[in-house]
Amino acid sequence: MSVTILVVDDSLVSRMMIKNILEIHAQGADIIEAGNGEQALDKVAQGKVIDVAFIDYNMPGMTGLELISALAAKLTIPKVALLTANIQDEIKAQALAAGVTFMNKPFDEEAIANFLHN
Amino acid sequence: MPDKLTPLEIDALTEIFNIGIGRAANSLNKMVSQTVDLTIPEIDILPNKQAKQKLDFDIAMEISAVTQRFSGDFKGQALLMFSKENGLQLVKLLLGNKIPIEDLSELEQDSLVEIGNVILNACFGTVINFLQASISIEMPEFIQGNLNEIFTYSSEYDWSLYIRVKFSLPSENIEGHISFIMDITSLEVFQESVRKFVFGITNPTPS
Repeated sequence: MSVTILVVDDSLVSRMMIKNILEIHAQGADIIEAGNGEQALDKVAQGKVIDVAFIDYNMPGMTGLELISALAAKLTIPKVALLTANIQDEIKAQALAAGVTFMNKPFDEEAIANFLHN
Repeated sequence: MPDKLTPLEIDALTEIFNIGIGRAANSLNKMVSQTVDLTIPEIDILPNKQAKQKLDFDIAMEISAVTQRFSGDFKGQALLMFSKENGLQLVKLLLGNKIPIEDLSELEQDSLVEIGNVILNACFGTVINFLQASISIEMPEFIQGNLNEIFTYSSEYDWSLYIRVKFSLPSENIEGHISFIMDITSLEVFQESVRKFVFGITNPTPS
């Protein structure tokens, strides 16, 4: 069964970098892209089941953590990674409290592969 | 005149600097013991005259700045600039309220150099890593004066990579500006590096 992966990042380049890695480590996955939280919520409202989500923290409008909590009110995503270069303890603690995996930017292929397969 | 960067190239550059700024925010968070959000609402490559106009500093306004010269694959001068008032706000945050106000200005220079060091080096670090560039960076220096004294360049033909940086702390809202002033040759080399980086993403090597 094909896996559905949500990728939310305001940077198109960043989304392309993730997609390049997903094409290797999650071949055949259905990838849903969004450039901000509002777009992501619109796309998820279409009734899609999401298996994995990669969500940038620092985006215009709602932050990645705000989006994660808005998504949680709508559906359950088994694996969620918060992507950020900003590894402040408070943000890390909020991510952990939300049950989210913290992933440093720039992310590497190995970290994403491990996250997908473990 | 250098070619305009495409929207995708600007996106790549913004992402590179966002990562650098994110790292700087993490270091500043440890220095000021508060959550620090640094964001980049604007980034552009433009002639120095226009970059200067972007700074929103009144001509007579006192500016505090940290500058670092760089050389190598591209050479120039990086400037992190604040209004004197915003600079002092940052110093106060860094040193806490224990320092008497009369001693603040003496410590201003050291503190802002440290903040500038963190922010500019985080930017340099990510640029070097992503663009695989070789750059040597000199020690940071503190300068204070009006816009014409701070934002100097050798030629009218110099260009700037201009970045507006917003510092949001729970108690403060401070804005700073970063300019990487480069001559036209350096800027062209820099743009070429950005293009190569974007080409690598849009044309990934099959594994």
